Amino acid sequence: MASQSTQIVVFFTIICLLVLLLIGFIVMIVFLYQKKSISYLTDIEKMRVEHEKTLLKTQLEIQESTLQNIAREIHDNIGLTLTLAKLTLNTSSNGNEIQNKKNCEAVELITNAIDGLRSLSRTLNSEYVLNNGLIKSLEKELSYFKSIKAFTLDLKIIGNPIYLEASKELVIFRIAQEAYNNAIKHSNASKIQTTIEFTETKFLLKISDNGKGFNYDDLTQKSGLNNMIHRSQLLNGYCNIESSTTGTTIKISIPY
Amino acid sequence: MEIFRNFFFTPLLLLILNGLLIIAGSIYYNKLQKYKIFYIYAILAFFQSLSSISIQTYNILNLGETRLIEISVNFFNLIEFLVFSYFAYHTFSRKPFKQAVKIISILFCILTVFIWIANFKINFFYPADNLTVISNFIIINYPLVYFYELLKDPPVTKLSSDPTFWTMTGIFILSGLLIPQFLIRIKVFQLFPNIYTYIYSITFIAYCLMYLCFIKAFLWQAKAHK
Repeated sequence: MASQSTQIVVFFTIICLLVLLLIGFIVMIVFLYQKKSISYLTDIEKMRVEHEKTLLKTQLEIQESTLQNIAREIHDNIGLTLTLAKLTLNTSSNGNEIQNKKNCEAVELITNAIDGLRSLSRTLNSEYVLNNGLIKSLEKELSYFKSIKAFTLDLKIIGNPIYLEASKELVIFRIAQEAYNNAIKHSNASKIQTTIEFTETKFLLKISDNGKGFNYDDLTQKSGLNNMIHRSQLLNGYCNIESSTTGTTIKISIPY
Repeated sequence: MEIFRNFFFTPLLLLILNGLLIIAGSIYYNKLQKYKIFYIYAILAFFQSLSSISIQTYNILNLGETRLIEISVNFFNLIEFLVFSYFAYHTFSRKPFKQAVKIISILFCILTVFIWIANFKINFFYPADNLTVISNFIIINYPLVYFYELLKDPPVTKLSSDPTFWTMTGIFILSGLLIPQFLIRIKVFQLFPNIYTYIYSITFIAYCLMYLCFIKAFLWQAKAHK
């Protein structure tokens, strides 16, 4: 009887151990499969992000190249033609006073058009940013805005400036341009504050205005804001946009 | 059979782990969310184990004979089944599985009441081992369905830090170990009463392993809630 009991106990122990092994095996298979799936999905996600970045980079390169061509065309062709027109008008004065007065007005209009086109050409041209760096370009951009409209524009630099890669600076400059453009065109702001901060690990840009603000969901055209976000992501950074009725603040953080 | 007497530590271990589970549940109670039901289950299980062990000791010491233990076991089995079914219902993502859990739970409740009434005519204190086997055969499917869904659905979280995974693993271990135990118990208990302690020690060990998994689930849930 005792030996039979022992046999049952041994048999039972073996059964229990086998059951435990089976449970362990099933759990392990699920665990490993899940781990493999996560790793696979992570790889796919990485590839997708890389692909999107490459696509965006290509788009930006094409955009820059197009802007460059337009800027060159404005400067070299249209600008030159207008200058020639201005010279022709200047030299075509005769005794007719009314005609001369009209010529002078036309020359003034052409001069304004040349100035406007020159400014546009400078804005579109990336060479200035690439040659002079981000801070100088932003300073120039702000001085241009100051000259055309009664804005209070401040630029504050915190920390020792660290020069980023030229392509990075160009992307940041385009983001800032978009932010200024939005503030000037849509916000009715009277004050635009720009703060650049160089920390140990990242570059921070903050552009805030005291305009009427906006609600992101109510916007019909979001491409400008989305562009800023995507451009920041392209540089492995982020763009945070906060807006209320008292103003809008755009914060951009880019790691070095 | 001297060796079987050495297994007396298992109920003590069970009470300790059950107590630890209650302590973990009490500390992180506000963060437990859908796992709160296991906290209540742990408290019920603690009192059930305590009463069972006390009654058993009372019986072993020949202070008298009481079959109250069977009543508490029968009731606890039903509560345990309902708790696991409730959790499975809220864990499964596919509607047919949810429906199946619902229907099976209702059917099992009806069957339990029916068996209790049937047993009442013979002896109300009759331990409903058949019911335990049936409930465990049902319960073991919950983790299997959960694993099936895990394999089918795209992964969302790291499994080792998923409280549901640990809870289901605990349930899987418990039902996996209880099924052969009860099957054997039904057949050989009458013939070999001296293996009683040993067989029960396996039950306690199964519960200990499940409580360990539940503690892990509580801790991960609390961490995830932060």
